Amino acid sequence: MATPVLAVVGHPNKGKSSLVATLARDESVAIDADPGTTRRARSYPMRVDGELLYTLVDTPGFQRARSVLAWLEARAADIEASAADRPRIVSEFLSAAGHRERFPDESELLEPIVAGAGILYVVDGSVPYGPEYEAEMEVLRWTGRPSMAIINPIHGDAHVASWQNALGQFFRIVRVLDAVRADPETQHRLLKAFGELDAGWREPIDRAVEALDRIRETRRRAAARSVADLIAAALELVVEKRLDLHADPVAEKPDLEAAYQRHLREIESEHWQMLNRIHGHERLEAHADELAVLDRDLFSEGTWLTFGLSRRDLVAAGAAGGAAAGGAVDVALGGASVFLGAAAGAVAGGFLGFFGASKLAEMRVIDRPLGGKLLRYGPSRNPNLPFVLLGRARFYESLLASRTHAMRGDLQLDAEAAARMPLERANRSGLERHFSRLRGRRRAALERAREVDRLSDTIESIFRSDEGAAAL
Amino acid sequence: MVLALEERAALSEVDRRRGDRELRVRLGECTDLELIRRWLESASSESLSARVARLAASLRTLHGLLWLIGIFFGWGAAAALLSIEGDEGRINVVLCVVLLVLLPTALLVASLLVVPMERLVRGRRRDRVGAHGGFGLGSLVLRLLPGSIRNDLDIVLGRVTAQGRLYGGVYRRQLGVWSQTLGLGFGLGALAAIGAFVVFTDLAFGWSTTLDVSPSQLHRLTGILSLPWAGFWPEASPSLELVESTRFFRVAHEEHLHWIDPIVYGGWWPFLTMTVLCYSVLPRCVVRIGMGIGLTRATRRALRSTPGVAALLEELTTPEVETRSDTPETRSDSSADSRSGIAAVDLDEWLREGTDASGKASAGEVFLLRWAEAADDDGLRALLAPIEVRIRDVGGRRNLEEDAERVRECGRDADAVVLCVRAFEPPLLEVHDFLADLRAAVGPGQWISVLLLEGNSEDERTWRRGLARLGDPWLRVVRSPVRGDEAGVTGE
Repeated sequence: MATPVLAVVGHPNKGKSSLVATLARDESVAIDADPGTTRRARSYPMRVDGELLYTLVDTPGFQRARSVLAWLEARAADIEASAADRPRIVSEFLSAAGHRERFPDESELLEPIVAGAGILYVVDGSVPYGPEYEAEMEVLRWTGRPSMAIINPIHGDAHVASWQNALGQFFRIVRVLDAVRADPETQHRLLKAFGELDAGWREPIDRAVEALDRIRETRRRAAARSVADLIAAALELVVEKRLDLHADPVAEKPDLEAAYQRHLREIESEHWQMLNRIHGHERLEAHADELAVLDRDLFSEGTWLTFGLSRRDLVAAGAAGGAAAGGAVDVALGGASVFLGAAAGAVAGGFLGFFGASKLAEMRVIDRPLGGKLLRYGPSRNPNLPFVLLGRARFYESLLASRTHAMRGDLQLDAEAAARMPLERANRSGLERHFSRLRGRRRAALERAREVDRLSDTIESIFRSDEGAAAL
Repeated sequence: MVLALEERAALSEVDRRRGDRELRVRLGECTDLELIRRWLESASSESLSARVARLAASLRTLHGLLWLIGIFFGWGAAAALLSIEGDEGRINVVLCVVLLVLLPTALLVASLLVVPMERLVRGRRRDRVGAHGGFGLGSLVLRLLPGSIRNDLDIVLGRVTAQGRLYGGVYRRQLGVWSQTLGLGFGLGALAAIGAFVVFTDLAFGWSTTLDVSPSQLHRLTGILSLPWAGFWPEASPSLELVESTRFFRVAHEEHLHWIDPIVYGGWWPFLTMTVLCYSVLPRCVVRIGMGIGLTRATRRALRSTPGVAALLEELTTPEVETRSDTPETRSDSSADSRSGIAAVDLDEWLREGTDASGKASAGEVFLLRWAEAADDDGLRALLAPIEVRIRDVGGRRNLEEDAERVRECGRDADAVVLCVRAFEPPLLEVHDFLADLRAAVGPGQWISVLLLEGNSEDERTWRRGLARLGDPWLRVVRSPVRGDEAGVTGE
């Protein structure tokens, strides 16, 4: 059984390439407001472990559909052909002398169909139906191939209903899908609908969708891992500078603090680029500078207000983290401390949460054994820093997760949307526990790795709920 | 595993993915451990495989060596005991039982108790390497290995030290297996020696003790000890007569000395054999099997928890999905066309051109060609008032012959021609063809205006750029009131 091939065809500038870019997750697809950007058919094979499951073919739009139809009808009349001969006549059209030059776009789009591809006919649901489409649909009908129509509401769905009525007369299956903004579930539903075109296509397409679902989970897990690594690296960041014995450490503080912030920004930028790669948006790296701070600097007050926790939340989270640490002491003492450890930890954590939020990190001056001084800035004990980093990464991740490969340009920052993504209370205290453990005394590599693993699991569950909320 | 992961980290991502994919495709559905095992087999380089094979062979040799040492000492101990004869020329069964059974059993119990005791004493450090039982057996055993093998083990054990909590369990159980192998060898050696001495020599057993133990008490004790085999081999349980008759004293009174058939002195061997078998060999055997199972489980656990293995499993089990095109994108020249396109005028200006100073139409016979039913008659007439137009339909549902007829009509009768289109639809080559035919019909030097309906500024740019490809200097676009300059994404 041949694997499914689906040719995406239609009028120029109706979102065919956008649909292909989204479904094939390929940002190299040329998408332009100018019609006729696509001049050659281009294949997008979907393979799982090297096994071809289906192929999408992006094609140029119809340019001379009425001329093609006129030729087909004339030829059919000449040979007194029946309806059964129509696919053969379309083949003849392609092989007729001069047609490749006269009808380059139609030749490109009809060739895969004549070779056995199914038809995905794309129209724009934001503009009204017009009679100029009928010749195109008629030509496609002549091919005799299984077909489906996709209404792509590029600028809104004002005319979707009229399109449905019109397309229903030519196509058995009609679906509505915003090719640029379709979420993964919608995309997968559409892919599954392709399986309905031919009985033999269902199995490979279902397997393809299953693999894509799996990849989505893997991507989410990898993103969570990257964010956990980012936070762990940020919490461990230390900047040092050696000074002469008589140098003034206080004068060096601004430089050291600036270096600390620069390193932190670099760490964040690196991990965000990793998120880009995880989501297959490598080209966004070119805009890393603008994206690195989501139009706001990591250390700006606005950022801390948007992504950080309020004083009240910090006290609550700090108290929870402190109580957990103190609780460990209680357990170690077999309960002999009557939970005083947990209580003291909660108070200390709450105190730190309240007063520690105003300082990024401490600078320490260390006397060196062989003379001179060592200035050390960091690691940060600021309770808000990991929450700010997580909040920003989470927002960035949500933008990437919902970004299709048909979208072009920079990510759109929506500060209001960012503010609408508060952390649940349970997550806050759980995260604070992870943060305080990572912040704690130097840990063995394995224990650190395990703590980062646990943090990664928590972040993954947050990402999962974010995706669920976005889908709703 | 540690060495193989190290090798994997040095591979390029492409090589890694290719290898993973081949393995996945070859194996199909299987358990995580099976996957790791097969990966280890297939992914290791020849040099690593050779090192691992050498390491495994050395461990096997070490294991065999421990068997031999155990058997040697077991045989030696039993042979010594069975060769030492007291003053009465008899072998003391009590001594044999104590040295061949009670002592090894006590050691077995002690070694089994070491682990829980350590857990109590050392708490969280229990899993660390070095905090194991075995009385330094590990170091001792490792010294038996050749230098090159020790180097490989050092690499692995270096990780063990760094990640003691992970591999400590494996290490302890490995030592347990080794110690039980040694003990089992000892028991088997002793058993073999007893068998050999029984067959090839004339053994005279007896029992003797300074303690105040009567034959009946010893008989009760041997009876209890013989319970496990009494059912199927009653002869291996000493009778009271045997116990009474084989007691001997260093200093014996004449009245105690009476003639006994020498055969009777050999009657203890079944008991001694079964005691060694039942209380030394079998428990060791059970513990050895248990330790082996424990070692396998601990190895599996450690394998799963080894840093890098979770990622490895993730990579091995996640299918490689490719959806992108294999061929580079080719952009059309038109998309790179930066020309602004043909001239454009506003509808008001166009209307002014077509009217005189009093506002009356002066354009003569104006043909308005409506492409693909772009608008209704009344709307068009209202839009173009005061200019009177003759509306003709072209494009859309009309066939090419009808279009040609309209073109001929324009060439014959029209003073001015306007093609009215829906601006949101792009200028197709079909429109180009039509305009080219129209130009041929009306001749050069006369404006052909393309009235854009329902478009925005982006649509206008598209039309102007698109129609510029015709190279007609008397072709222009007329802007109608726009439906709104909504920005947004449009796509090919």
